[in-house]
Amino acid sequence: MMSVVDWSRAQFALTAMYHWLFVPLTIGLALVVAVMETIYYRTRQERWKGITKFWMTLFGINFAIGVATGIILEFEFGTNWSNYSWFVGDIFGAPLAIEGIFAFFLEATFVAVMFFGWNRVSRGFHLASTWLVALGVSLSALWILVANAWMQNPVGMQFDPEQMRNVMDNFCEVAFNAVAMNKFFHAVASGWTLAGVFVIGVSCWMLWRKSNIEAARDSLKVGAWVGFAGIIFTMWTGDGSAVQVAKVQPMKLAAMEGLYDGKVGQELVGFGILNTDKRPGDDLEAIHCEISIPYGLSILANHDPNTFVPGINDLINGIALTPEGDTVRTVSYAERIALGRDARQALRDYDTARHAGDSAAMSAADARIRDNFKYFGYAYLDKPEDAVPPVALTFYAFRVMVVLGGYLLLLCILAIFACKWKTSWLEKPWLHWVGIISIPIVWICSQAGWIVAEVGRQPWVIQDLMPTNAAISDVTSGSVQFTFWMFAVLFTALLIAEISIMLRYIGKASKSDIEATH
Amino acid sequence: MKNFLKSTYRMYRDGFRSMTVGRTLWIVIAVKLAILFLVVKMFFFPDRLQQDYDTDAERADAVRSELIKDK
Repeated sequence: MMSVVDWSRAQFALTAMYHWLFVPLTIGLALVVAVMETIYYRTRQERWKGITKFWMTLFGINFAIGVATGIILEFEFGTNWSNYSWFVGDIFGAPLAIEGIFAFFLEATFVAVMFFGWNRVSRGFHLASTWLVALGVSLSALWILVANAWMQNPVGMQFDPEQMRNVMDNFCEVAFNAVAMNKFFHAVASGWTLAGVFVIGVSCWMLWRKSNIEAARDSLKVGAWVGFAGIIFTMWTGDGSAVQVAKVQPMKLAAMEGLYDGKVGQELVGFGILNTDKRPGDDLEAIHCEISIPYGLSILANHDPNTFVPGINDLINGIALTPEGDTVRTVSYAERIALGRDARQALRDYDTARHAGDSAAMSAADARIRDNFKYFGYAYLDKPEDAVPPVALTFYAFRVMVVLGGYLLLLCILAIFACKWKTSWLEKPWLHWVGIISIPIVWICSQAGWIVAEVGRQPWVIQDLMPTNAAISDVTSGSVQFTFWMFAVLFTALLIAEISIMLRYIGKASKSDIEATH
Repeated sequence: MKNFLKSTYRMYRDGFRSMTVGRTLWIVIAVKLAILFLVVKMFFFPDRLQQDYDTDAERADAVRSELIKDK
């Protein structure tokens, strides 16, 4: 039986995952189109204009179907997560407002020039507009990821018990949060990868149908290079993410690895079947049939093979890592729960003093809240084990992401190799089908990455400050279930609309000459 | 300035007129926005704190009461 918290989480996950089907393609295709138009600008060959327009139309279809799907997340904040949306205060509001302004100006101006401005503005201005769209969609993503990163690593604020909000006291700390910067580059680069592979897949489809062969070959080349740059950059920033996670969310890293008892020189699980009966503190084996890379996790987390990586039991018992990579005894989760409850009791005392008009008692309570505010969210946990995320889902999603990421790297290398040195392969049906089946694979990889990031940080909606059970509004499970299924239908309809419009457009284009039809 | 505005207007006007795939997309966008704002937002997703309380102080009180409760 799912609780209202579970249904609300499921609804948010459904909405976010559907939204993320569209966003990375928009980010990545904007770059692909900009690269293609740059080639047209430099070579002045009309075929590149046709190719640019073809992919620009696919960008437009995705942009139009995907636009405003993210607004539903904001609706859910206000209805299902009202405690959370009030508690985060202007920290969430400011980045989202900046994002809204960016999106508005971008959509109203440069996208219009991109689509309607051919032969109306100079070639240089048109090219600049296309690049500005590519830059704009990425910057738009930046502000969303700044808000997301704050939830993973809350910095740059003070809690005000009078307003019951976190008040931003350092914009730069929020905007340049190390987690935000890494997350931004990782997400944007993954968008390049996704779009590069999408272009490879669609080009392979045209090659398989033996239509627009020259345009498909040219597109394949651009897609392969964009995808290759994207996946290399994604892997590099993914490494940076692992270091950040080890510092600010070590429990997430332990869950990603199914690691309960850490050690110095910790290995990385390459392959393994998780024992789902395993619980913190018991003696059961955590992973069956494990194939590991020696020292792998210590290198991944700390860039040093001889460092300690704490497991779930270590963290619960208060053994952690300093930012310098040293092992320290820190506050155990049982102590955190006690300190969190002290902070909550101080908030109660503040409330009582406020009603009594006793300003001295209010100040004293405020000081006690500040002392233990960093553990405030632990007050809502019953026991230390409640702070452990769903290990199986995090563990397997991480492996799906890494394995498919490796596959995508090989695919891009294969496509570059075929375009540059082995052009006869471009006529082979096996290559065409490898490209076509890679389209769903790249989306699975991208979604798996978000599952690791978001499921791995459970139970926190704001790390250490607010768990999901405190963030939830006073709503009924039935109403959330109803809107869950409503969104499932709505988003599925949008997805079907996108795929059918794209297929119809690609099918039509592949029956004629791309260069001539544009 | 006048010429700039006129040519901008023409760019939008002719652009919208010459759309092919874009017509379908605008229909999808219009239907989607209508569903989101006129149905979903209005009937299913009220901003609870905005709807139930008049002032920010009352909203803060409501959230404080929720968070000091034992969950």
